[in-house]
Amino acid sequence: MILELITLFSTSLTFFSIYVILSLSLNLEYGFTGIPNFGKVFFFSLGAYVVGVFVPRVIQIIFNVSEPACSALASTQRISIAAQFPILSMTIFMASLVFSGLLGAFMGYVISYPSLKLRGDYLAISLLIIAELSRVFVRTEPSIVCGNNGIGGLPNPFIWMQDPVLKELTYSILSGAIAGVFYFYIHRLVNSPYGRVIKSVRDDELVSQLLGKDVKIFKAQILSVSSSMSAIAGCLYAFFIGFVYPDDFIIVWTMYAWLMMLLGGVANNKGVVLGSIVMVVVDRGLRRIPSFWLSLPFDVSYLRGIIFTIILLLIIMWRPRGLLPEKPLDTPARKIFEAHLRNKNSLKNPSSQ
Amino acid sequence: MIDLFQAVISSIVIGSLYALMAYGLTLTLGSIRIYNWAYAEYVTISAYVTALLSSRYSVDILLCFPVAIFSAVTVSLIADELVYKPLTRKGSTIIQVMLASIATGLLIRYLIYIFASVNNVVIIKAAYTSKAVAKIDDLIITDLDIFIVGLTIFMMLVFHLIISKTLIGKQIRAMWDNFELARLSGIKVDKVRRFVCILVGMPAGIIGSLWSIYSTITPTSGWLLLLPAFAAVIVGGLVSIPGAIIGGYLLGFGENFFMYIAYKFAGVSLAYKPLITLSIMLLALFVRADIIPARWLLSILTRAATHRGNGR
Repeated sequence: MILELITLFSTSLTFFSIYVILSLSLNLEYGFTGIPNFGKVFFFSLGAYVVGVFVPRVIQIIFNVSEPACSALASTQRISIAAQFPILSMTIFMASLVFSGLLGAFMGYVISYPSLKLRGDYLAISLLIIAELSRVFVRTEPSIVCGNNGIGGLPNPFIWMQDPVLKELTYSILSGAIAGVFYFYIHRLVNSPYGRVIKSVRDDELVSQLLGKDVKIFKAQILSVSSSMSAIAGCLYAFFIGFVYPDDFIIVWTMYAWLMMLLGGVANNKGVVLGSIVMVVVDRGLRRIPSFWLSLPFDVSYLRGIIFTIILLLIIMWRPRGLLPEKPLDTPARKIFEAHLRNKNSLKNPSSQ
Repeated sequence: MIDLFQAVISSIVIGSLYALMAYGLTLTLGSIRIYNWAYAEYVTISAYVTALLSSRYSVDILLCFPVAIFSAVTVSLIADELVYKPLTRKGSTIIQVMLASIATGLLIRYLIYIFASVNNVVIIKAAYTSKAVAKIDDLIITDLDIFIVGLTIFMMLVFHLIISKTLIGKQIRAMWDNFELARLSGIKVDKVRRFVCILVGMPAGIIGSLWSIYSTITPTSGWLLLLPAFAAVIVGGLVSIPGAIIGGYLLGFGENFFMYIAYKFAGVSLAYKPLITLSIMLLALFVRADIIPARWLLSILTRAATHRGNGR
C-alpha cells in the first residue's frame, strides 16, 4: 500500500514537473511576450527524439553492440548495460539534457525568423502545421526512432538502483528540482528590467520599438529560451516513460500546455503552477478511477480528452484571463513604494492600526 | 513514363481536394475571421457517414452524398452557434478563437473515436470499387478520378458564382473587406455568418465522402487532410481564394509529382512526403506570403472580377 502510494506520488511529481516546465515556457512566450506558440509539442518532441536517437547509438558505439537498435533484444541489452554502469547512465542523461536544450534553443531561434516578419496568427498556424507534419515524417521514417513502432529500452538514469520504487522517487525529485530551478529562473526573468521590456513588446510592439528596443532580438531570445525549456521537458518525459513513440506527440500536448496556462492565469507563474496541479490531479485521477468502479466500452483516454477540451472551451468563454489574473511586477522598487504607501496611510489615520 | 503520367493524375486529384478544402478555409477566415481547425472534423464526420451508410446499410453511393453534406453542414452550424459566435460576441482575440476551434475539433474527434471504437469501425472504407474508364497502355484513369476532379471544380465554380454574382455574395465580400463597416451599413451579420457556415459545410461533406471512397478512413484522416490544406492557405497568402486554390494544386503536385520524381531519380524515401509540404509552406513563409507572384497576378484578375460585380 505504502509502496503504491509512493509510486503514485513519484509518477505525479514527475508529470507535474514536466507539465510545469512546458506551461511555464508557454507562459513566457504567450503570457509575457505575446507570441502564440501552437507548436509546443514540436519542441517537446525534439527533446524526446534527441533521447531516442542519441542514447541507443552511444551505447551501441561504446559497447560495440551488433544488434540493430530497434530490436527488442537490443532494448533489453541497453537496460542491462545501463544497470551495470551507473556513471555512464547518469552521464548519458546529463548529456541528453544539455543536447536537447541546445537543439531546442537552436530550433526556437530558427523558427523565430519568419515570426519576426509576419503576424502572430501566421506563426501560430505554421507552427501547428510544422509540429504535426514533422510527427508524420518521424513516424514514417524508420531511421530516426524506428518509425511507427517507436524505440524502447531508454535507460532511466537511476536504473542502477535495484529498487524500482526508489529509482522512480529519485527521478521524480530530480525532475521536480529541475522544474523548481526553471520556476525561479522565469520568476527572476520576468520581474527584471528585461521582463518589463518583453511585457511592453506584448502590449504594444510599436511603442517598444520607438523607445529603442529591438523587438526582433527580444522575440528571438524568448523563443529560444522557451523552446529549449520545452525540449528539456520532452527529454525528461522520454527518460521517465522509457520509450519514444512518435504518435505520442500529437497536438493534444500543445492543448494541454495551453489549458494549464489559461486555467491558472495568463502571465502569472503561480497560476501556471496551479493549472499544472489541477491537470495532474485530474489526469492521474482519471487514469485510476475508471478501472475501479467504472467499466467503459472504450479507451479512458478519450474520456480524458473530452473532459479537458470541455474545460478548455469553458475557460476560453468565461475566464479568458485564467483563475489567477496577472499581478503587478514584483520589483524591489515596488516593495519600497508599497512600504512607503503603507507608512503614509498609517501616519494619516493612526486609528486604523 | 507511364508512372509519371499516373503521378500527374494523382497530383491533380489530390490537388483538387486540397484546393476545395483550402477554399472553404479561406472563406471562413476571410468573412468571419476564424482559423477553423474543426473543419477537419466536419470532413471526418461526413466520411464516416458515407462509409457507414454504403458499407453497413448498402445505400447507393450517390444517395450518401446529400446525407454526408447535410451532416457536415449541421455540425458546422452547431459549432458556430455554440462556440464561435459567443466568442466573437465576447470580443475574443483571433488566437483565442483559434484555440477554441482546435479544442472543438478535438472534442468532436474524441466523440468520433468513441463512436467508432464502440461500433468497431475505427478503420472503414465506403463500399465502392472504382472502375477504369480510360486505359492507355498501363495508364489508368478511373471514374473516381474524373468524378473527384469534376465535382471539385464544379463546386468551386458554383462558389465563385455565388460570391461574385448574388446579393449575399456581395454581403460576404463586404464583410471580407471591412467587418465593422459592413455591420454599420446594415448587413445582417448573423445571417451572412450562418450562410457562410452552410457554404463551408458543403465542400467538407463532399470532400469527406470522396475521401472515404478514395481511401480507408480513420478518425484522424480529416486532420491529416487538413494540414496540407492549411499549408495551401498559407501558400496562397491567407485570405485570397485564387491563391488558396493555386496553393492546393501546388501542394498536390508537390506531394505526388515531385515526390515521385525525387523517389525515381534521387532515391528519396516516400516518408519525405510531409517534408515536401513543409518545405513548400516554409518557402512561402520565408519569401513572404503576401508577395507571392501568383497571388499578385491573381489579385489583379480578381480585382477586375469584383469590380464588374460592384458596378451593378
